Amino acid sequence: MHRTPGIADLLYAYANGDMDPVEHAARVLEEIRRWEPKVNAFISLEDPELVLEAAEDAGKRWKRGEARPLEGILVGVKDNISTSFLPTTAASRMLDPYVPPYNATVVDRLLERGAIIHGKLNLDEFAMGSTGEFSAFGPTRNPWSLDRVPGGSSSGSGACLAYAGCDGALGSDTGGSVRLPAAYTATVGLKPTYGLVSRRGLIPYGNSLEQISPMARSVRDVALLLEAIAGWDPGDATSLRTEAPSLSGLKPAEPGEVRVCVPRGLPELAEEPVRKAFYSLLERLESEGASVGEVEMRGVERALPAYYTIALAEAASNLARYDGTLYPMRGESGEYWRYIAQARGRGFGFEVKKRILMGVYVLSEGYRDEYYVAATRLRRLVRDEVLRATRGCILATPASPVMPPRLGERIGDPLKLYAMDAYTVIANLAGVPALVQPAGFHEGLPIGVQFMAGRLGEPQLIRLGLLVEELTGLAEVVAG
Amino acid sequence: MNEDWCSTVDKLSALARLELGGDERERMCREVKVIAEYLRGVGEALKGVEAEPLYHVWEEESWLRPGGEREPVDLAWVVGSDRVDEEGRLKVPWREVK
Amino acid sequence: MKARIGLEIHVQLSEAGTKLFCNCDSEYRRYRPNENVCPVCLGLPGALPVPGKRPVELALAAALALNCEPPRALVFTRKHYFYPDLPKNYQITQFEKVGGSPVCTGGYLDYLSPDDWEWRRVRIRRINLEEDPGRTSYEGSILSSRYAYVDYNRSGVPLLEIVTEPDLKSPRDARVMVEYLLLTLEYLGATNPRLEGVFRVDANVSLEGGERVEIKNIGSTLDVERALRYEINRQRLVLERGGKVERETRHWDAERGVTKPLRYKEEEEEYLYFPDPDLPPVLITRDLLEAAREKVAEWSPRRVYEEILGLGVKREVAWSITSVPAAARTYLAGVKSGGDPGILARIVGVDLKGELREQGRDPYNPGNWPEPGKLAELSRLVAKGEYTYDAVKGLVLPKLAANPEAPLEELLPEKVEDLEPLVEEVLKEEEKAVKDYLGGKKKALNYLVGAVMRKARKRALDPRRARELLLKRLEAMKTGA
Ligand SMILES: [Zn+2]
Repeated sequence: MHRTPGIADLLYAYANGDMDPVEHAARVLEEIRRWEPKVNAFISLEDPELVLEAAEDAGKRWKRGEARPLEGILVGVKDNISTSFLPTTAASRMLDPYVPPYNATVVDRLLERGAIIHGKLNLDEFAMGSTGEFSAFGPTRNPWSLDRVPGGSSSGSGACLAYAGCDGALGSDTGGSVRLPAAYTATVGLKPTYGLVSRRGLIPYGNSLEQISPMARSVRDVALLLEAIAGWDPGDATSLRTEAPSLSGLKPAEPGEVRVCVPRGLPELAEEPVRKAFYSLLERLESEGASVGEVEMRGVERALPAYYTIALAEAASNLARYDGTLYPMRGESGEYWRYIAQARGRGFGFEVKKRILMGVYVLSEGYRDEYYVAATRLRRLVRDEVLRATRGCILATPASPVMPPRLGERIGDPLKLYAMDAYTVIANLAGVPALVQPAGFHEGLPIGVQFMAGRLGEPQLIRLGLLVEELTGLAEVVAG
Repeated sequence: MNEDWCSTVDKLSALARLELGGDERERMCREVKVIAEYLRGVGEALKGVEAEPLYHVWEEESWLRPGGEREPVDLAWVVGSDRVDEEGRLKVPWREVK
Repeated sequence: MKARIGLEIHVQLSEAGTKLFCNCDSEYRRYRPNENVCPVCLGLPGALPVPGKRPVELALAAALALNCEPPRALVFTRKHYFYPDLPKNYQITQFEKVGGSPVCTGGYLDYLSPDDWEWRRVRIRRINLEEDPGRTSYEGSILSSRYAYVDYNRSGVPLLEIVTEPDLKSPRDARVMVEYLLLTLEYLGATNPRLEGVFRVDANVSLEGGERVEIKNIGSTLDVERALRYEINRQRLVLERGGKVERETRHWDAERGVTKPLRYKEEEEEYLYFPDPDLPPVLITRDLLEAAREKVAEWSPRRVYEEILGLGVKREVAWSITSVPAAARTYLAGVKSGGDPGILARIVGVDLKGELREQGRDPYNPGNWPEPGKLAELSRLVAKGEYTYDAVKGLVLPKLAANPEAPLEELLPEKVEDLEPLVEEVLKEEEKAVKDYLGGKKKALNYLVGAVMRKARKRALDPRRARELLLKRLEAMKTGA
């Protein structure tokens, strides 16, 4: 384990002339050359020449005093977020190699703020998975332990941060997809309030649940990224008409003003090392003067099946469009109905097919009320419970019930795989922001903690996160 | 029992226009059964609970787009020119012609 | 045997300006294939629909014009089926179940039948606001084409699906209703019914003792009548021969003028409806509602027709004016600026409209109508007796139809102020006719009037005055002789 400068440090160093963006970019490219053959965090990389040129331009802007908020920062973008300058595959054979004719709104915002997008990051196919193993481009490995998964579905986002192959990363979080990787790679992921960040350009999996979400190696950096991408987008009808929150100048919370509560019974679902790390962090907070309590919450024990029901229904619908007519994968037959079934059969991996079939199942006439509609009713229950609980405190849970699994360990049994999301799906059902950051290590493997606040409670989360970072000292750490 | 689930899987894959190859069908029958039974727990948990469906988490209304610039895209650029005929129409395989 | 007919009418909001969920053009006919498309209407991954203000306003106005109770909010629902013209393989439409909320769930339309001048009523079951799919064409037949050729220019155009109760009594009745409905939507500025493919009708019809049969793919109001007439005859023959009319869906073949059974569909319909998570409900605010109410109240075929009737105009002429909105606007503005209601009605509703048609100029195009003040002036000149209606009709209207911008002074024929010398000349020249008249042949007078008119050449002359003058002189000649 060692430390490496994060976004805030880099901006400070660029501003003072202590570091040059070209020098930094060259170092990042070197890390990528060194680690990628082992880790497989990227699906496509920008031409190194272009990256260095962009860094050179950034350097000139810093010298001229024209630097923009993220000038010269290297941000990797999950490959389900549209870029018109690099293919966007969602890690699916279906879309290899689809190049969108437009940029996602968040991509435009990053570029306008001077960030350099140097590559597209690996993920579970169409973001469906919790380990990163369901990519058509091969699994991503965890830089902290190469026989373990980095968590999914934003597997590449977590992994590139963990080996310093990027300064920040964008992931997407439908049911924990940036928070599991953050937990497994000792990085930070923040799933924003639903609607705070535009989804325009994000290849959808579960539209009503997901948000494009920043990842970085420190809470401060995640705040900087979120501030850059947040805010109303007229091109997304679900984006909230609120001003982007001011997050980068926030100070750590005073322990005395912090109220944390733990949903009763939830931590007990976790493996022992996870539970231990979780409770020892809470004890530490309490000893600093924070109040730590418990809260009773109805419905959360069934959050997981409700989440999956909704996500699968939306997924089946979203993925209907991939039929071999507008996208790269084709069928063989000359007969339309066979042709599209073939294209879909060849283009999708097994996990994606399974989720499509389940989605059709829960939406079909005879089962819709018992499954899909029931799940939306449970969703209301969970949302109301979370909103009620977060009025008085910040909810704390482990980020994942298990330590980073070995490759192949969880994907054989669908229910074991889904169980990894038990803590994270609550925030997606409720729409509230959730932060995962390192809580500690066990036998060299990272363990994360999750905090959830109320709607638009991002500033609260950031302030608590900064305080936790001070207590654990776990910021800007990288593997190796 | 598994055979029942296989007929369900067949119906679902016909509806989803999804060809299952190799051993996929058999594996699918097993896993779909397990997942369907697991997801059914939601309905059971709700017995006696009053809650209306929630489809949009914040229950806010949409804004209305006032109109504005067209942002046309070039279909041939997106799909590849081999899939577009001289007139600019997308060619979709339709009938097997001997 | 009594028929019960219900219709499902799809009408594009062609005048909305934009597509339903993107800024592409709602009038796609002027583009080359696939040049009116963007990521949203192509359904590209990550593109998001945003409801347009104009399409929503027009749909709401249409719902109010059809006497629907407006919903609290519009909800858009995804309806799934695979087809090459549907780029997402689901259509964003509306549905009354699973959290859905269509723009109308019950209303009615009173429509005028120009056959018996009765107002009739058809109940509206439901109206959906939805996306039109793209257009597919085939090489030769749909059954043997190697490719389906898809043009997405139409994909996403706002479409109303209007479903009636089976209240219509005859093929003619159905046609008259559709024509009135289209006119109502045209009055709202929602659609131009004369654009190619702007509306399509599916009809269902049952005879007493038979099942309901659905007929798809009717593309004109004339064909609504033709298809239903054919289908009712077909069903009647089946029943008369002791057969059974099965519940089925048939296809209207306009070229051959017959309905044909559709190939049997194996799969049951399973559309996997659920509310589109990308589209929060569109709240029907008081502002939206007020604007729609105003639009409906200020300008509707019924209001215009009754206003014109109220001016003493015959119903045939009143309806002739009403059925062409540009004519109606011209007429009412002309009356407002002091035109003579009766004469103006004849000009607008009969002769100028006819003249425009004669000259191949579209009477629906407001640009083809003269400025209303000009026509009002013309009607006043006739009313005051300065010109005869026939002179205006024969000499002015053709020129006005050809060039609506032409100033009136240039069009009006020179008036014959000196009628007496003309009469004297004719009396001198037409000795034989004069002799005949004086000899008791009354018909000779007509000939003499004609002769005066001919002498006036293209100048305007009142034949009644010529007749009077001639009579006076001839009587004088009689007594004087
Ligand atoms: Zn468009």
